[in-house]
Amino acid sequence: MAGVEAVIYATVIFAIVCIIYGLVLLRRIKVSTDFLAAGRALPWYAVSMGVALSPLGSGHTIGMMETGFLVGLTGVWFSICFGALFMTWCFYGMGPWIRSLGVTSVPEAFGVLYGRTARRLSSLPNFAFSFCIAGIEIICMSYAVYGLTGLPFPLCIMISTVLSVLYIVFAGLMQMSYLNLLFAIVMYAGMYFGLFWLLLYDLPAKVGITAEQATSRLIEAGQGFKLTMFASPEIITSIVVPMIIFALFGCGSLQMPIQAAFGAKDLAHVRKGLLPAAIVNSLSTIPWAVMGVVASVIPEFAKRGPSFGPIDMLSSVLHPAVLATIMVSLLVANISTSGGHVLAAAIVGTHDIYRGFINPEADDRKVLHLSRLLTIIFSITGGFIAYMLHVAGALIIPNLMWTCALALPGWFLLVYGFWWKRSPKALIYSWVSTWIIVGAWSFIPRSVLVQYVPTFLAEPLNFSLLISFVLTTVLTAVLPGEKGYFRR
Amino acid sequence: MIDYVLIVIGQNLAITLVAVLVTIFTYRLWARRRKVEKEG
Repeated sequence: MAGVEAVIYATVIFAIVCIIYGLVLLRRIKVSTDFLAAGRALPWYAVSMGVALSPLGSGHTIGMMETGFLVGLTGVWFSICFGALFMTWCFYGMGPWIRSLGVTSVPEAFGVLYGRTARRLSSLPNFAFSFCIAGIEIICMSYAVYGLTGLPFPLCIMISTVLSVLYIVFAGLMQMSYLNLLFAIVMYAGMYFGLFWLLLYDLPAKVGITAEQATSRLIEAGQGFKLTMFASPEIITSIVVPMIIFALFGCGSLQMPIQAAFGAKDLAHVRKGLLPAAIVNSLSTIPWAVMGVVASVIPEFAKRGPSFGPIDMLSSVLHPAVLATIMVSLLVANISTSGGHVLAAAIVGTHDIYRGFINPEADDRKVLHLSRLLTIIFSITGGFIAYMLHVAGALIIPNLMWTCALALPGWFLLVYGFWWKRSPKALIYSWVSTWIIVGAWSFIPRSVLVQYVPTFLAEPLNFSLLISFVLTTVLTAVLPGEKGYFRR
Repeated sequence: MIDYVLIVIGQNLAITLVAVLVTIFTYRLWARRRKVEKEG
């Protein structure tokens, strides 16, 4: 690949920035709370970018290229759901509520509200979610490394795993939140500059079609719906509704997407960051979706499919310097999410499982060392998950949504626990029942399900929302419990 | 294509800003009412 040296330099500079910045912050990490919750001293702008970029990863980038390739710009509703719904929920709802408990993790919040068993149960979906999605994020980082270097894909996975470790291993949440400020600028500059460069210069020069001709080709092929967010009621229902459920109910009660809010100085510093976070997240999918759409109209790349087609188009069409900016922005988008998930799994592993149940008397130094060790172990296992996903040829967004389905009861239970009623029995029965029912539902072939239930319910995420709502509401109403935390 | 991109950016920003501003003003209204109730 011509000019590959320039893009490799970009990756190396990126790794060096992570290491130097991590080492600078290392001196400030004295106890485990500094590593896991940034010493609860983050100012609003670090909280804002921490929350904005934590969920901004595979679904917003490679997942959006795939969606753009398949259904067009309707896919950008994904980031609107995160920017408009999840961010408002996180900064004005769940984030401040949990921050007001003074806890470090979501399972610990369950422990305060519902007791020890609840903390143990809620550790499981949080742990599983972060553990699995770290793998999905690493595979997306690998696409960026592949686009940058053209190296064999398994080697790209290994490089991504190492970068993921470097991103958080020195100073944890503190390193992640402050680096996210820098990454937000790099990411936006790279992806929008790359998009307009592609449309204005390299597409006409290298492929021989202008942006207008690409538009005409789409319309002539009967795919004009790919050019608008409001394609058709059917597409919006089948794509946007699950996105709303995923962003608001799925991510709205999980450790990883909201953990930066727990490190805030105080509640005012949580709420202040909403507007920039919402805008940063909301506009982040458009360039990737458009690149997916463009790749789908060029036969040479369309035949490579939704995952590799757009990446191959960028690698072979863009000027190396522009390719470097766009791939580094892809890398930083995914490394922030991968790092966030690895850190979340380490927090739940050390704080809730190890210190909560295995060794409650463990001294702080031991917990801090274990946190660092787990970030390395979970990054490596994430690399293995990424490799398995690559071998299976799995699409990104359906996998993200399925992983989230088992966490949905937690959203209702936290809201009820804060504002209505806290029934430990309702929590145990509803959560375990939901896992069994939704787990079994997932293994029934979709072709069989659609014969008996509406198509909408054939998706495990949608079905899980219905079951979670019904079970948590009915059981909380019927079974005995204390008043909600804020109603005491 | 570029005009479609700009339209989507505008729509995206508009929807997000409306949601965020409605949330902020609703919260402020609620907080002010709650403060009055507590003091009163």
